[in-house]
Amino acid sequence: MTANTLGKVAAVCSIVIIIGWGIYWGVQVQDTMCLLEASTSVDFPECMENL
Amino acid sequence: MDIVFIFEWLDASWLSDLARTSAGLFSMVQAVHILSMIMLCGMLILGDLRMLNVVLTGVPSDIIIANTKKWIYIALAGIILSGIYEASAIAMKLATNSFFWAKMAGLSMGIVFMLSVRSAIYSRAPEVIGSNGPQSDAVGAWVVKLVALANLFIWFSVAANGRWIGFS
Amino acid sequence: MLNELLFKFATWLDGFQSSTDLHEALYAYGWVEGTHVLTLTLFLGMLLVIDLRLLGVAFKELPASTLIERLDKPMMIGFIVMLISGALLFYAIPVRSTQSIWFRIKVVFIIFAGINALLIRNMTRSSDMSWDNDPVPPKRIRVGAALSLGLWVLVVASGRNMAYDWWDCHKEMPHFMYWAAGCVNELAAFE
Repeated sequence: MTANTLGKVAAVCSIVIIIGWGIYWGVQVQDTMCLLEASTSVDFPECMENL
Repeated sequence: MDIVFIFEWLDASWLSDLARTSAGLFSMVQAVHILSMIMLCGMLILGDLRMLNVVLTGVPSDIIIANTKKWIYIALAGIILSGIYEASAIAMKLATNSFFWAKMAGLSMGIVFMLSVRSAIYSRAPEVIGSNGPQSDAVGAWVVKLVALANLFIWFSVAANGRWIGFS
Repeated sequence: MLNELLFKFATWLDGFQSSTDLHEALYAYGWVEGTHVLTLTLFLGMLLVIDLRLLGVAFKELPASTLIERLDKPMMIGFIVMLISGALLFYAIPVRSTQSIWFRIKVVFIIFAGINALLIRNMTRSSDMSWDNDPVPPKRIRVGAALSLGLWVLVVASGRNMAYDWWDCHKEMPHFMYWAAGCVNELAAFE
C-alpha cells in the first residue's frame, strides 16, 4: 500500500471513530443533564421519557 | 450469535465463586486492573501526545513508540486477566449492561486500531513530526495527528465506560 | 484531639447544601469520580515513564533529564485536575471520607510519595547529572524511582479500597481501629 493510500484509509478510519464516539458521548452528556434537571425541578422533565 | 452462554459459563465457574467469596483478593485484583489501565493509557498518551507535537517535540518518535510497546502489551495482559476475574463476579449483570458492551466494543476497536492503523501511520510520520531523519514514504502530518486524536478518544472511551459500569 | 478537629471540619462541610447535592446527583458525582480516575492515567502515566527511565528499564536511549524536564508539565496538569476532582469527591462525602481508614492511609502514602519526589529532585539537582545519558542511573536514583512507584501503587490501591465498608465506623472493630479511622462517636462510647 502506498503512503498516500494508507494515509487516506487511516484518515477515514480516524474520522469515523471520532464521530462515532462523539455521538455516543454526546448522548451520555445529554442524559446527565436530564437527570440533573430531574433532580432539581419539581416537575417531571420531558427528556426523562427518552432516557 | 448468542453469546450469553459465555456469561452463564463464567457465572457458574470456580473463578466466579472465588471472586464472590474473597473480598480482599477481589479488591487487590481491582487495583491491578486500575494500575494496568494507568500503564496502558500512560504509554498510549505519551505516544499520541508526542505525535501531536505536544510533548517531547524534536525527540525521535521512533524511540518513544518502540519503548512504549513492551509496556503496552504487559498492561493489556494485566487488564484482560484482571478484567475477566472481576467480570466473573457479576457476569450475568454485565451481559445486559450497555456500558460494559460499549467498553468491550472500544477495547476491541482500540486493540485493532493500535496494532494496524496507528502502528503503520506512526512509523511513516513525516520528518516535521517524527524527527527521525528523512522519510521516503511519509504520510501527511495531519493524518498522523488525526490518528493520534482518534486513538486517544477510543481509549478514553474504554476507560470512561469502565468507570461507568460501577455506577449503572 | 486531631480526630475531633477533623470530624468537626467534616461535619461543617457536610452542612452545605451543595455537598449533599453533589453526592445525591448520581451522574454528576460519577463524572467527577470518572475525571479523578481518568486523570490518574495522565499524572501517574507520565510519572511511570519518568520512573521507568530512572530505574533504567525503559527509554534508555533518551537522557533522563529530557524526560524529567519535558514531561513535568503534562504530569502537573494531571496532578492539579486530580487534586481538584479529589477535593470535590471529599466535599461530596466529607464525614465518611474523614472516617475512612483507607483515605487516611492514602493521604499518608501521598505525603511519603511527595517527600520521596522532593528527595529525588534534590538528588538530581545536586548531582552533576553525569549519569544523564547512562542507560542505568546510579543506585540511589533507582531506589528513589522504585520507592516512588511502590508508594503510588499503594496510593491507588488504598483509594480503590475506600469504596469498601469493611472498617467503617458502624462496624464492630477493636478500639485501635476506631481511633485510627477517627470514629469520634464510637470512641466516646468506649469511655
